[in-house]
Amino acid sequence: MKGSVLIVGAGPAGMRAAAELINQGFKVILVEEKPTIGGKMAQIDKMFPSNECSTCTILPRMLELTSNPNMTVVAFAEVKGIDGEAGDFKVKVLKKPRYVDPMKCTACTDCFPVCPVGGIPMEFNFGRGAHKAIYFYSPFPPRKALIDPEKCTYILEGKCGDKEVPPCVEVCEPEAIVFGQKPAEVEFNVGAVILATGMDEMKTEALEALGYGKLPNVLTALEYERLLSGLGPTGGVVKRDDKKEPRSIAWYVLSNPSPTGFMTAVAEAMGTIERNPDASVSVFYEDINLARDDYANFYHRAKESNINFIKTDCISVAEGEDGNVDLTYDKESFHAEMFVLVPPYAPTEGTLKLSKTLGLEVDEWGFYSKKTDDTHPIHTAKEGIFVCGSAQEPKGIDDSIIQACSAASHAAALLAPSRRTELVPPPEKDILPVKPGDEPATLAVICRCGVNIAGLLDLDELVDYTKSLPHVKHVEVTPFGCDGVAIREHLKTKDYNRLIIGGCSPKTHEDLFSLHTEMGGLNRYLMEIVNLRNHCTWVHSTDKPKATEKAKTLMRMGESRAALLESLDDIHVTVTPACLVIGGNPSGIACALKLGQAGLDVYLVDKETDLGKTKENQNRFVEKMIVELNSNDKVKVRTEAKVGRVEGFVGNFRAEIVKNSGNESIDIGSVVVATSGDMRAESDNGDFEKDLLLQRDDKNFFIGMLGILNPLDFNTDGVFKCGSARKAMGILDAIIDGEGTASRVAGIISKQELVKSPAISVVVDEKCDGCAYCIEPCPAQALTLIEYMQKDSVKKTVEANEAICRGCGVCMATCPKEGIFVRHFKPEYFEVLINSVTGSE
Amino acid sequence: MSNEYEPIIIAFCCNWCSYAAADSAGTARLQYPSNVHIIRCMCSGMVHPNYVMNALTQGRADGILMCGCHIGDCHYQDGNKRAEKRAEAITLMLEDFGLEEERFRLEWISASEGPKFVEVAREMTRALKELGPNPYKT
Repeated sequence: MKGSVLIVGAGPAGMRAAAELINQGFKVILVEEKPTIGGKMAQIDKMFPSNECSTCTILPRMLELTSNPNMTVVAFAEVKGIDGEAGDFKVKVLKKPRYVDPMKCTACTDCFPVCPVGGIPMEFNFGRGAHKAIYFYSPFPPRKALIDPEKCTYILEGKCGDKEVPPCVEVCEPEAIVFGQKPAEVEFNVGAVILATGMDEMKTEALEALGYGKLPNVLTALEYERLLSGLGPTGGVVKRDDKKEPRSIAWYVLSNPSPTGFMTAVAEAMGTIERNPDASVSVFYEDINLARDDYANFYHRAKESNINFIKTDCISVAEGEDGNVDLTYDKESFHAEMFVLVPPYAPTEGTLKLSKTLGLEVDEWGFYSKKTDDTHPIHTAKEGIFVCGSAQEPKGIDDSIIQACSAASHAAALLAPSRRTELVPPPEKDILPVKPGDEPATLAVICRCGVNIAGLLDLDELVDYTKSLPHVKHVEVTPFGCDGVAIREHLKTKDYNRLIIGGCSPKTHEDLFSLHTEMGGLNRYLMEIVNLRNHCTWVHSTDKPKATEKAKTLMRMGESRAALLESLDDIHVTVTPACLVIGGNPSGIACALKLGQAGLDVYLVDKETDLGKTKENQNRFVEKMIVELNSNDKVKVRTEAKVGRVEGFVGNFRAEIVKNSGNESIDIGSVVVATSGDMRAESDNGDFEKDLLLQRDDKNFFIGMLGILNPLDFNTDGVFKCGSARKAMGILDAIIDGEGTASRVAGIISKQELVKSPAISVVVDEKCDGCAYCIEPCPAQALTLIEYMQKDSVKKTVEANEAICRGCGVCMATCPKEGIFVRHFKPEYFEVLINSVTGSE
Repeated sequence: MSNEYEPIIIAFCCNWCSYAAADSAGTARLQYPSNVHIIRCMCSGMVHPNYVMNALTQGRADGILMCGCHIGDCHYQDGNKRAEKRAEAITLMLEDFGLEEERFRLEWISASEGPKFVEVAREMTRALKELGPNPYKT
């Protein structure tokens, strides 16, 4: 049995399933048909109903995934067939030619300006904006160039203009361009497959009848998202193709079985009003579909913010003056300067093709959704092949995330015996011991980055200046620091105990540079990245002397911080490999069962005498699960029981199960709250809700962590919620919720220890006087006030729990006495950074 | 070259949103004045008011820009709300020290708002130019 999973589709569902499985000790191959990952979530601006920024939310997840050694992203590829059976599939994947070797391309973009073929409409922006024949598909990872074979004249005619050698090849220092590349078929041997191929807007004749594709300034909702996005073709200012900023915009939501359509219009209308409060914004709709309370609340908020909602089932369009669109509805007329259509959803072409290739059953629209009630929504007809997200049925991002977690827990349960068998072993490292008092000896590496740095400033001047900085022993100029060659070779001499890299952004390259630093034998926390490219040369590219001066300042700042940096080691927190599930309802039962099937110990606590007693459990799905639960020796069911005190933190909780026959104390690594019902034991046994800092809303549902991507998480690490604890839901949804939560839990308790970044808070005992100002502001609730005896007097101080601190630094900025700091972000680091901006003392 | 006064601005940018916005301004080759210097912090809530006040009263900078995620987008749930509270306190302190309120600015800039970062950088530079050098500069 294989310990790896192949996931098709790298939208929010596929990415999340991948992250969940890696976290549980499986290797993942993520196949994406587009050249970059992120799916539709990468194209939209804000997410409903929270109005969160989509890019802010998904980009860190993308970077985390793409830098994980157990993750193989196969972008610009298609699944051609799946042979074998559950536990041992052979998946054929066709990699489309990029004509650029992604292993060599450093994303320097030197090839873009020299390419003579331009004006190619950007597919990612639905035809708005233009790129060259060699280009980036989107601003998202994997950030590797590719060549459009239908536009590149060298590919079409064998010549680039009058040149035999194309200029892109001439300027490409890493020699990444490979015109001879052919489509390549590769085979992956995996234990399970998850299909997360998403949904698309349905482009039917109904759209054409409403002017789409015929009139200017009629676009679809997804196209409009690109105009709202700061990374879109208009830089986040809504503009028509004639550059005019529309003052009146209308939406029309076509009849749609999914509430996602109407909500998209609401979110876009809100985004428009936020940008331009004077705009006239109207949403026409055939029928309103608010399946959820939070959707309804979002809609009511929109109604209060000057957006007109008009119900009509009879709207017609005509071309107006100056590119405007004249709308007629119910005998009234309306002039829109832009008209946005929200069509119903269709499966992506990828979904349609793949379901045919694999011979899987789909519904009348082509989704994997099956309305017969004997099929689990996550299952397909083939054992070991699961489906999640909008490929199953159109849905919002948070629901996709829950399904992705559920699919991950199904795959994990199937492959449990092979957990951790295919993980990449961590590389051997020989790290130089560096103590805080050691005199800094700094290696400075400056990336030329093609022309991106070297061409936009006076490199010689920068190198000479960097040499003159204190502690700098050597300056090495390298074509691309990210290849690791210069960094590793120079560090291996052991002549240096600090490294500063003048290159690109730590956001995108910190993990990679850290790896090179450690492979060279230096602790990763002794490395400082100076963002010369994104924060200097690129943004001052029209003024070389100023860019040079700024680069000198940035190097000076980086050097001053690097000199203070300290070696740090990861934090290891041991984990008790068991879980407590509170509430024996469909979601609690589903959660416990999936954990048990994954070979993990679970306690399921319910107040009834028998799990089958309540009405909601008298359902054939649930009854079947109860039978399985009773025969699974990993699951211990405690009926007629409630939960008392719960102490501890993620990985290590101790809970009291309270029964008439006596109390039972259990050690667990994680807690799941599956019911909104009161499961608290009598008051003298403690109160787990209070102990775990859980809060409820006015409808008695638990309030969890903010954010569309965290529907199952509480703010307290290691504690999760599902089913009726979150909101009212049907039985199938509750089961998926419970299974998804099992994946969240398994991400913790399937590990022997949690490995955490050391960049978290540390209390300075001599300075902390126990004033406790820091305790309440801590968003992770990681701080406690403690008292102890010191020389016959009571000393008060604060203790930071390293298992739950996230290193945000709110405590550090609250403390009036420098009594607490975040490692790697000490106050003195900020002080030297600030002081070295001016270069004076 | 003109000898026009160039104000020095220090911008604290949170790792998750505004630092990424500044990165994307670079990727899009948007241009802003070179006197804006970005310091990366994990959260806007990590910036101690002392950093801001010391930088200004010791004449290290002519203006300080503090940037975080929009309210509701904070990677740590509500660190930016703390930053917002501190910004109010900083504004009051500026007055006590005889500094103009334009010398400190708090902005919420999301990862996709590179253009907004640029606009803020330009606008703040313009405002500080009008104001003249930080009186604490020697």
